[in-house]
Amino acid sequence: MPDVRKIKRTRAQKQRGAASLLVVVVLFFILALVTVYASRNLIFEQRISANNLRATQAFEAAEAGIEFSIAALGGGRVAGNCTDTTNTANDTFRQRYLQNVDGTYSLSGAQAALRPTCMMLSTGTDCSCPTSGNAPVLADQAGPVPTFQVRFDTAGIAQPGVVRVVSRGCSNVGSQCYAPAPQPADAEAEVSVLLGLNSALATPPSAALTARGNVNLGGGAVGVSNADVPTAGITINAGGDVTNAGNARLFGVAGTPGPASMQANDPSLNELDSNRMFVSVFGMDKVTYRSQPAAVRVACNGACGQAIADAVSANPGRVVWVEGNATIDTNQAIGTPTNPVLLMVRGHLTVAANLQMHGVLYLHANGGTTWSTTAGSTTINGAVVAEDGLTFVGAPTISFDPAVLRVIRLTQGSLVRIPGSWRDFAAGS
Amino acid sequence: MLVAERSRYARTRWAQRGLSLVELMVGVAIGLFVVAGAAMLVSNQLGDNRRLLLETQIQQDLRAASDIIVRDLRRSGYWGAAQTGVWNAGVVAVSTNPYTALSAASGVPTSEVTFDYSRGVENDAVDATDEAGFKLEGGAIKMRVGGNWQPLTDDRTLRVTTFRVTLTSQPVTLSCFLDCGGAANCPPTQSLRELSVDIAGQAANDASVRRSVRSNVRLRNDIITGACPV
Repeated sequence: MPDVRKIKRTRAQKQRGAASLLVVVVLFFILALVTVYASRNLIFEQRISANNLRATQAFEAAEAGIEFSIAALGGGRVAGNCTDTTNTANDTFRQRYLQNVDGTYSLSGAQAALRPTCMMLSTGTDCSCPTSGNAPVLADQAGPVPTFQVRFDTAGIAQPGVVRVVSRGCSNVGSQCYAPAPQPADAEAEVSVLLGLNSALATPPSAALTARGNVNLGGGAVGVSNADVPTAGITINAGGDVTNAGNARLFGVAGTPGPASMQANDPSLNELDSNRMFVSVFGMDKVTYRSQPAAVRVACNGACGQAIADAVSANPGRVVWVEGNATIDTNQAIGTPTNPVLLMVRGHLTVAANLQMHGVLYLHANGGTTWSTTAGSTTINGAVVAEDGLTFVGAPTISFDPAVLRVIRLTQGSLVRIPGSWRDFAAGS
Repeated sequence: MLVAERSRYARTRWAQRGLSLVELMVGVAIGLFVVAGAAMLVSNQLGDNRRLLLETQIQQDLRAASDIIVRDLRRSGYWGAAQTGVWNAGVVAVSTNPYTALSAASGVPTSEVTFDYSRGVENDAVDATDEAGFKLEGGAIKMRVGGNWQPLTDDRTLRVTTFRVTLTSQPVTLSCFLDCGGAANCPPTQSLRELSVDIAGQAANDASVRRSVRSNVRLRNDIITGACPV
């Protein structure tokens, strides 16, 4: 037994480094604590960064919703998944979500509940443009899939042609942005902006046929009528001479002899150059007009009656801009009194079939347009405007229709942002 | 067995003979070295940690300030009755946005920026509540709220050394129905504006801890200057 005690004592005597070890262990323990504390701060910092990222994603998604609405409101017929379609069973985005009563936008009870929604997947967008409820239902997506949902609001806006679009963005698919989603999103943001209708026909023409230059009726039985009293029944309003009108059928308001309803050498047209002529009718320059969301371009060189008719059919309420010489070689009925067409032809126009059109025909070939009707009958209800001179071959019939012009002026054109209306906070009341 | 017992006794006896001075000194020296090294490690680590925390704090404060500033600047020019600023067939004259003021000049950095946007009930006039702004004063960024300047950053932890707002403005010419005929401010222009905000700061107690943030913000509410002839 004494041996054992001896051995124990000798071990303790041998371990002279114990104090150092103890001190070092304590110091290392402090280090560990400090590291834990630091990493706690770093984790907190990372959480803030992640929140910042999500908030930014949600905000940008909301902004994307505004841009999406502006583009979609200027577009043609859309299917349930918001993609373009030519199927006439579908309506346009604008017809689906807004009703236009005499130029003032409002929402019907059913429209007020509709919420177009888009999810931005890595493979592209997955959108729903419902006609009722949430259909088509979007698949729930896991992970960071920014989503936006758009609604329209006309409350408190008495002004015609103005609507507020409210876009809510989410950092992922959440119930704030898409009601069927099971969980709320981590971050959401809401921005809204007023959109105003930039009318496609800012100042409608006041004559059945308006031309900045000379009008050569070609000696044919061209029919031009204007029975509208407020416009004084002017049939042909030209900045230059009107020639070869001997056989033309001109009808102004009752009591005015046909030839007296023409107004040739009008200085207010004559003094304009071609660009100003365009601006005075449409309120913006050609390049802007052609590239606006509500304009659809059709490239033409020769026979393209069917292409034009297809473009009109797929894009009700949009401006159809035809580039090149156009020949309408098949029988076509373009536009209706309630849904007229604004057709711009940048080239010469040849009609070799029956053409019935409701709307405004704007002819602007360089150096004056030749409008030939070689076969069939051509009837234009609305108005015809030529940017330069106009030479007729054949005998189309043009009837001034103020109702058609009014519909175009009040409903067609692009909806654009109104400066000063963007906000990301609730307005004061 | 006996041999092993004896040899163990021999070793114990040898160990019991005590320590020589040299042995003691070497032991103590090694111990001191180890402790000193560990202490140095700890003090370095503590210093680094303190620095890291300071940097994080400065970074966080700057980021938060920048976030608030950018968010507020973006709203510049909001007008609750913006629809009355566009023409329609029913009105004779259009109103102009009363909230378009922005003190920054294009391309000139400034350390004080004031602007307006409509808050509360729309009355088409700039009240004290509609005024907003940011400036650098006494090492802190101050924010104009309700007509008064209030500190946005805490100068006891963060000393802001640079606050610079630079405006980049891009005018877009609009078109009029009627020819301007050489009139001033005709045709009107729409200004697309972007502000870049640079903030740099250092820790109040340690000038070696510096951080800076830079953010760009496109002002969403463009302003229209000029008018068309009527």
